[in-house]
Amino acid sequence: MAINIDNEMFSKIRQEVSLYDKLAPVAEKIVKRVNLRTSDDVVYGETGLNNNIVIRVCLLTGLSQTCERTKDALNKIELSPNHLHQSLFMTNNMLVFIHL
Amino acid sequence: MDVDWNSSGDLSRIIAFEIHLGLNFLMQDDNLERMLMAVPEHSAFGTIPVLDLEIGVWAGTEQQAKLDINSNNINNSQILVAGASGSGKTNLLMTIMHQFRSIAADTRYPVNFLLFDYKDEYSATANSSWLNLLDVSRSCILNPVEKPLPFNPFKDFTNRPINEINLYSSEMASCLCALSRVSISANMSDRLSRAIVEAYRKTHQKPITFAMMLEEYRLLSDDSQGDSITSVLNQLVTNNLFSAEDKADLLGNSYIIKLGTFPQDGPLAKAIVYFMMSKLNNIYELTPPQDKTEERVQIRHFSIIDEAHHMLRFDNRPLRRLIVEGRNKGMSIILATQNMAEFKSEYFDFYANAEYPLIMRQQTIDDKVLKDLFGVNGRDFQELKEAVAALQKGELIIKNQTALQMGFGKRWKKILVNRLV
Repeated sequence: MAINIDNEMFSKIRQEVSLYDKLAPVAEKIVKRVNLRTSDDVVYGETGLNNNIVIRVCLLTGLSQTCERTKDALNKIELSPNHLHQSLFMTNNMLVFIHL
Repeated sequence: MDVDWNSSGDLSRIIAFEIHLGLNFLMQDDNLERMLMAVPEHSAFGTIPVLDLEIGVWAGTEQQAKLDINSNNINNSQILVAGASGSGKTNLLMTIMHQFRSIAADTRYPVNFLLFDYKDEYSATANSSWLNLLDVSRSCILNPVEKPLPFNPFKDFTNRPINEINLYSSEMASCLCALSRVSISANMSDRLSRAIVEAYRKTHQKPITFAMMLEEYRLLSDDSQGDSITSVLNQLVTNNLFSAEDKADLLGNSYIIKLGTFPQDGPLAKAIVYFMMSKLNNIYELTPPQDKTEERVQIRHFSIIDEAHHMLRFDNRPLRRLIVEGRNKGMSIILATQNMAEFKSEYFDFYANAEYPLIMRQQTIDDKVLKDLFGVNGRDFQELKEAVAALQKGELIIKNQTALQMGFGKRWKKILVNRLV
């Protein structure tokens, strides 16, 4: 099924409530795995791992999952007034949804 | 599901849901490790990569020229490059290495390398972009002047018969004699061999060091002044080239050994290359056979020795063994030198064991080598010789396997190498 989404839409995507708190455990897991450090001396700034990368990793992993999506599950998601930065979708000319 | 893709609310929820789904998945079990290491079991990532190295185009066409490195149609994966200074040898080597690395990088069969950088070209800060092309960082550069190389080059004979040590010690003794290029009596060689055996006895057959070798040699020697072997061993000990223990995985990582500080034909540079190849041999023996499919074999590692003539002028058994048997365990060798005649050493015919002899612009053309290599005579030979003489920078001549197998047609082809650096 071809889905047409206006590029403009990517500037209007809102975040889930407490998104960055939810990302922290997976970010720490990536840092530990990639740098082979213990959790005591993890320094995020040194890793070059920013939140956008973590969100992209999670988003792409989510999109690769084959489980069923329901409208009910979508409606339960609480959105915050904050937006996701457009560059999240546009970096390296990556247009995640354009060709879905 | 009924979704309005142009409603920012719906789209935000969908994206949030997918992020959440991915996040949960990555936090479960070892899903994150599996994803980072990209080893899905039933996908293209899990199959042996097709190492058809695109090095340029066939002259007169726009068709890509590829070197098939790991199909079952070829006998071995060794490459020889002969080209004078300014013939484009470094660019060709970089192109080959870049292809090896980039084709295999995202698979579960990455190909690592060991490069001896005689001129400090690859390790120069001005050429940092070369490291990106090889998908490595500066941490892969090992400088033996600053720090001993993190390997013990000697073999571990724990639980092995003592006779193996005797054979190994004779080989090591003759190698050290060859590296020093001084006249050495049979007595001295024998004494060195005994010193090696004695050192192994003291370590209970675990790997020895040059210092131990020197100490035992001195004990067996009557001459308190020292001889030429003492002098070579002294240099190896004083310069502290190798660690006493293995601290790095030579096959599992890529390394560039910086050799620019050492005189190219001096004993130290030669010793480093010789003992590293010897180390690869030791690793080879302990490594399980590589994975295979009906079409392809796994290539684990390739070693590049530029200025290889320093390594070809004596009976270099570790190198010979790797060239002949390396493919069984997925180890490939690339040798480069200026003069095509160097590969036909009195000790070993490298041409007979290399799938891809690549001839670039030459300073002197050796008729016999060309005739033997391409199986040409008379007019064909004259034509080939003229073609080699007319080679420009970045051009090379390769055997035309089809013509050689069919017994007719032109036995050689020309490639215009891609410009990478």
